[in-house]
Amino acid sequence: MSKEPKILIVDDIEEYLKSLKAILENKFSVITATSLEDARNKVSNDIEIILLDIRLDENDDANKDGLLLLEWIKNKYPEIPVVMMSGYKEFDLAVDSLNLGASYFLRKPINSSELNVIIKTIMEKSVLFRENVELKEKLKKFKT
Amino acid sequence: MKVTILTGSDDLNFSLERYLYFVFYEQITDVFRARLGCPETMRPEMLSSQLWIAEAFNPDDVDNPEGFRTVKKFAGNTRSLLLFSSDRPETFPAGGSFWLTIPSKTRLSGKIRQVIENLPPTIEEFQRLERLLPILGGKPFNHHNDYHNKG
Repeated sequence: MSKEPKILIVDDIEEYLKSLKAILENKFSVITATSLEDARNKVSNDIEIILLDIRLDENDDANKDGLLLLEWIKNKYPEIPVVMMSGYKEFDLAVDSLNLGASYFLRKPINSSELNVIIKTIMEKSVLFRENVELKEKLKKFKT
Repeated sequence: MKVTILTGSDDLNFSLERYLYFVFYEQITDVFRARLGCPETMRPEMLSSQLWIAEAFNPDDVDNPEGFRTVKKFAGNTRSLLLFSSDRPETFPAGGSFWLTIPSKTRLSGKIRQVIENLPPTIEEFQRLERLLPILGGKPFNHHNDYHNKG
């Protein structure tokens, strides 16, 4: 059984999923999804990070299913950090994404070193968060 | 006070940042800079800005009111000053409670001071501005980076 942290990448473009997977699979157990429904079925509590594209239908120029999915994830799994990705150039989409709880917004095509830095930062924060929770629990037990 | 500057050029962003620190040095704690057309320049800390100073239209995409759409999202919660360029229709007022056409006879420092002292503009005030200049209310263009025409 793999002990590598799990990462979910959601994008409707298979070739894009492949290239991101190639960047990340040496450090992560990578799961991929190509649609809103597919992603909903694959999100679970043991996922460390989700990379999520805003447009999930390449034939629809106005498609923003990624934002709907982000909202759903943040309702069901608020602790999973989500990094939004998009080729859209409109600044207000980044505001929408961060307002809905995304941790970062990356513009496509993704720069792999920038992605690695962001993932490292998120992972470090996650470790600190977990340690904090564990210490609080220990303190609680100690007090009782 | 935390301020986010959102314009279409790095030069203008730097100039406005220096201006703010120079004129409002006692009030400004942080200035964040972001670029229209570059959503990747948005940072989480900008969400807690108390003032946004934004160009209403992207100068590289002159009919795209990207800055207007952005600050409208903070209506009722965050102070904002919208900057318009002088090529707007003559019927459009050169200045209002939270916007200014530049260049202008109105001093920018005075306008910023006024915006800081006033309450944040409400959604109704943004809608009033859309009625004065209907292009502001248009749908987003959904411009996409065509690195391979997909994604």
